[in-house]
Amino acid sequence: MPCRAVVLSLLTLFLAGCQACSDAPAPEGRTSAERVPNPPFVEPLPAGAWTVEDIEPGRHGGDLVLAVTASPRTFNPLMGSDGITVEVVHIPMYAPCWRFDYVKQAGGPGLCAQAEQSEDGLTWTFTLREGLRWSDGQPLTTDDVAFTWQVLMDPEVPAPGRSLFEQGKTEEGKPRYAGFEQVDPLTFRITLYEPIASFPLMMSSVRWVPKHTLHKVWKAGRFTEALGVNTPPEQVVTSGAFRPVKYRADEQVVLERNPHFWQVDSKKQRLPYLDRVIFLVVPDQSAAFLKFRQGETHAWNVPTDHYDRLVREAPEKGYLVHELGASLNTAYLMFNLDPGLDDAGQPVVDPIKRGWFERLGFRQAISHALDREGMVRSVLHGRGEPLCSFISPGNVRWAPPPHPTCTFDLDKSRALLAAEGFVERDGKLHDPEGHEVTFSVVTNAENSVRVHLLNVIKEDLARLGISVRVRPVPFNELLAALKTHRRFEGLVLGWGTAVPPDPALFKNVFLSSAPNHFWHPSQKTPARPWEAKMDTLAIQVNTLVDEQARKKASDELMALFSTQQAQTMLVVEQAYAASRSELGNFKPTPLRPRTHWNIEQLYLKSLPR
Amino acid sequence: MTRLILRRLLALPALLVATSLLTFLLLEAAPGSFFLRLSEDPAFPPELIQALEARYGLDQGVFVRYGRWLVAALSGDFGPSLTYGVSTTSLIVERLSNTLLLTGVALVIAWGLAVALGITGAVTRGRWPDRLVSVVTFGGMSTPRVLLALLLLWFAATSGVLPTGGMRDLVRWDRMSTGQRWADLAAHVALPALAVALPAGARIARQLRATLIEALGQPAILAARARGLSGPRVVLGHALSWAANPMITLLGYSVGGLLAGSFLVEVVFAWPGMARLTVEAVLTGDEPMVLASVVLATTMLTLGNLVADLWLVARDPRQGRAPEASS
Repeated sequence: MPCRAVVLSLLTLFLAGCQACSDAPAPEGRTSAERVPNPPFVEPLPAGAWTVEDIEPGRHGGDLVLAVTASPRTFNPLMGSDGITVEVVHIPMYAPCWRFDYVKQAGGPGLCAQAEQSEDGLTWTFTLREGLRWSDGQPLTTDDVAFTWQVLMDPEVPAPGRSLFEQGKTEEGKPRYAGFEQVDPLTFRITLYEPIASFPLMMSSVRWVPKHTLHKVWKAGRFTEALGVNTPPEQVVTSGAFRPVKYRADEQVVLERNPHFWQVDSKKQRLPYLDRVIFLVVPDQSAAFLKFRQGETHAWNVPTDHYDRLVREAPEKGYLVHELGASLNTAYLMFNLDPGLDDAGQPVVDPIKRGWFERLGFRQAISHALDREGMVRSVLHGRGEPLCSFISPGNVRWAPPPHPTCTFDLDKSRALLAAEGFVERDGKLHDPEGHEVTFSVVTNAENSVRVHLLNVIKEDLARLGISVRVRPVPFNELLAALKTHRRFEGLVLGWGTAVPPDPALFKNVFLSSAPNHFWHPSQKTPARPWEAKMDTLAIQVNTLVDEQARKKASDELMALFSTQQAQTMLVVEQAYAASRSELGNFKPTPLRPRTHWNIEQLYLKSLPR
Repeated sequence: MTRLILRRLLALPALLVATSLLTFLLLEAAPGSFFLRLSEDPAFPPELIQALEARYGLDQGVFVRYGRWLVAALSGDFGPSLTYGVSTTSLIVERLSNTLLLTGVALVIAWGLAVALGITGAVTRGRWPDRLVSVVTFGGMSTPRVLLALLLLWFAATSGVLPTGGMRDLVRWDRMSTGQRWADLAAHVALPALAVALPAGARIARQLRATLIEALGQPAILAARARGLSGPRVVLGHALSWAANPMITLLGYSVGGLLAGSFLVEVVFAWPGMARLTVEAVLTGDEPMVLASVVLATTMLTLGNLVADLWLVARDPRQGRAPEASS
């Protein structure tokens, strides 16, 4: 026995030793008081460098530490589109052609200095900045843009960005894509079959990849695996403010300044200010809270349940808590209007129940019976807002005017139901044929907020005599019901949003032919007159060039959505962020990533000694 | 002994096929699929989802897919992770040493604790130290590992003495000397290892106490006492040796228990081991990742038990013989 203990101890010490000695210590001096950029910038400044005027000139140096909930899935900007990969890879490492300002919710030049639209709105000509370089010093030209386009259009590469450029179908029924033309090393042109609103911003969600490092990989048919998380970080070449230097699975991603970055502040100091950015992987929000509170991280995307304590301790601990208004993650109740049949030839929804759901008065009555203010109080603990529209009020540019269909009014509900022939007997609601009104509503059990909302809905509808069966199920089962077998009566789910939060991106929901038209998806022709009208408005929102006309069409679309109660919107949570007071140019917004969308502008006012 | 090794090693492939097939069928039975989750994202239209399913062979029948996976696995290729798009083996290798480190430290703590408590309980049988050991071990066995981990995490957060999770101080690690790194690693592993070790140590301690009490009543031990050997020498030199065989058998099982326990604790303490990878894979339906993890865990458990058995046979060759047929 003692012998075994000795062997096990030695083995453990060996493993610990391997962990302790696996990396050589980095040189000291990153926190020096002189604040010399380390790594230094490579001169000269690109000829087409962009001067960022609307920021406070900062100081170079220091490490920014942020917590994220998971490791990125890949360093390949064309293959990863999940939230964490966007936060850790896209935003800091790959600059867009056309930059989106999260505060102003407006676009502006990025890698492209100019974007010109032809008179017919179908041709866009983009001009790159002069003197751009990748992080390894190689020139960034339209060769790289053309290569990215080639890869994107390669049917062997399952890149999610390709669908952005899909414009209808060919005569053979295959997807038809926009055309690309490389004019010269600084100019390229994209030709559309039909106009796309805010096209420069839309296309900027596709980040360019370097031809000089990835062309051979693509030719060998291995692009999908390229730049995976097992790639040595020094082989990852970037166009953004930072480049990776270290990746430890489920622990951290360390980035350092891209010395060729092309932005300067009004004092002609080069950006980014920070030497390094360290993303710590902290899956648990309570652990992330402790790390921020103890000063281990500089900023934090605050969940609502930690807000009160954070605010209480802010003066003592010396940090700032920012209230950002309504978030863009919404919650809704929806009924299944799908008349389809399942594999056994049976209707996916009981025709009697679908008959109720199809009645406009029924859907509006449900909306008026829901006490959204109560939901905010009891479920969100006051940290939220009632929601009446598909677009959250947090989307300041596109939120529509208030709509009257979500006021809490039980008398109005009863009147609407009576007008549709429903009667209440013995405390239970019956349809005109005498069937008792009862249905089930599913939601994903992992989301406690949605389960709580569903319980409140059950109580609210009981006041009308409606019996709701609450069915929390695993998320995969919910998705299978929504996307595959379609056997559900009602559900509670939510919408997030992409960036930019432009209504053009919502066509996947509003078009009756779209797969995310969840109440009755993938229709060949609009099944209901209001859906035909919705199609027309959604197409206008996607194609109108004039921004005022687009806003008008968008508001009309949202009003139609609310009137028809295609989905009964419920509530939206408030968004909060917290930062250490030494963090300069910190401009959090409800859009993700809330804390570091402008990471190249962030700086540390003081450095630890 | 050679026959024992051969018998165990020959049984291993059958065991791996059975566990992997069962895992595969369970994953199939679960609702939804990995790519169904992606379809939430408007950037993934149905055609792209179909292309991805075809690329990873998910459009094939269940047994065709399993057969293909098995053939590839036999050559050491467990396929690419659906989440990360890179080889599952490379992902596992990155995290395996971390899990082994945590399990190894926990094993040392659990057995150190068990030996100390077990001996104390046995030699003071019926007196207050024995009763105290019984209370402590009962408490250790009855406390769920997750609760214990959360309590330790709370202690770390309120006291500020030890770190609140992770495996190292990621911000300062690069600037630490080797000695500082050792200290940092030890500080980070202490609490998760305790959380893994305490329930197992309590269980082993009770077992050891009972075995030692039995050993202390053996004629050989009584004879040793009669020869005038000191109490500690009798216990450590003779009784412990007598009790070693069942304890070695228990060692094999405890390795499995600690490995399983470390999975829960890794999640609570954000320890970058196999657990988070496996749990995430199970939740998202990343089939190749789950299968590779199950195969690896099964192999480790089987080999752990084999080592324990071999040790047992080395101590007592009778344990390796096949039972004689009775006439």
